[in-house]
Amino acid sequence: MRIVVGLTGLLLVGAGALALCAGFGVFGPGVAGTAVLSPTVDWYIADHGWFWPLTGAVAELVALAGLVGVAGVIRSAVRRRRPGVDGATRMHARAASGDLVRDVTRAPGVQAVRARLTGTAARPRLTLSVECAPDARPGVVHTVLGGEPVTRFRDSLGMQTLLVAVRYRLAEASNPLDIPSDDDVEVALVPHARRRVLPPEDDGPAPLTDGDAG
Amino acid sequence: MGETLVDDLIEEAHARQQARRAALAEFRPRRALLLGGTGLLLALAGGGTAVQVLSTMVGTPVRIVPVRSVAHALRHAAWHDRPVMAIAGAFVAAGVLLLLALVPGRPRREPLRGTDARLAGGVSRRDLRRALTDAALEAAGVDRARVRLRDGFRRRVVVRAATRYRNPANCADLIRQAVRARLDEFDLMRPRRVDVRLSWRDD
Repeated sequence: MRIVVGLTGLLLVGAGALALCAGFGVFGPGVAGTAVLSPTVDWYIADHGWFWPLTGAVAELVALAGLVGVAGVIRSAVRRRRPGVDGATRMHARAASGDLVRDVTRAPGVQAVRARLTGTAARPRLTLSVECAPDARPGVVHTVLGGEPVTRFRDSLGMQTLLVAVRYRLAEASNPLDIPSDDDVEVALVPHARRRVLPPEDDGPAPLTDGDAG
Repeated sequence: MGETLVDDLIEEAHARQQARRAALAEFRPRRALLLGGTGLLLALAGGGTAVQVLSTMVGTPVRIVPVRSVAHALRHAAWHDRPVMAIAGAFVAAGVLLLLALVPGRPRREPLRGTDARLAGGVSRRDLRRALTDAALEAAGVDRARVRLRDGFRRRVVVRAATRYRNPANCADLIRQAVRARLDEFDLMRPRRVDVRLSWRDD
């Protein structure tokens, strides 16, 4: 598609520049004053029977190139987001990604990892999103990841050409002066089984009892 | 022994180069909308022209564009007329924009160093700026700090910081060291210099 766009750009620049040159009188003052569609052009078209068939064929080719380009762009975008491999490979990948996620989560500063296999069998692609702590060292995590975990994942799938794209995200550092909300305190302190059940809104908040303190 | 070492070094340099290429290709902007839009326009324009020309040739013309009125206007417009010049200028501008769109853009993420040609890692510029800002703020005496990433021939990190002290002493050096140390922890594929611009109280 880039070639088609490049050729289109060159064609537009060339045609526009020639028209501007004609308008500014670069080709002579006589040309600047002539009509854009002069009688000479009409005579030329009338004298050559192949003109309109050739125009139609060129237009068809341009339309075809445009359609192929659009299809390529759409296919490429879809392949980057959705898996184009068979179900068995996806199941293997799901099983192997558990080990991969566990290995990467052990790296210092890593909080969460998400893995997604996309691409085709010929050009597989694994997208990893690695959530890190604010003070994490992404360089170290990347070195750890590039060692054994990725190699093991490729071996388990039998895809040595697997492209792994890793996106590191750093969590925002929380302000130590911020006062945590009641919900945050409850999540942090009260065991899940003993958390209070919120009543319907019209009844108002239920009073805390001794049992809620855990 | 010596040959092996040289081979290893060459292989490592080659692997680094491949990894750099893969990472930059992965994080470069796709410009799918522009490419797809151009393709769609070409398909519509080419298809429309082909339908009109071929249908006219077989004797059942399909009127997509009013050819007669367009031809009449072109027969009465000279090359130096303003509308013609404006349309020519628009052609040149559109062509230049399309050609510029083919120039590889700035990566959406800062790629991290690696030696695996099939592994590309990157951190977003926003996260990188935030981490470097936090590092600058940890330097003694710094009240405010703002980090910008400058690209181009001289890639660098520009830190604008302000201190409450009247005598900044080596505050700029401290900021530079802190930001440099944090930057090294990212191990970026494309190294950056650290420029610190410090302002202080002069009342």
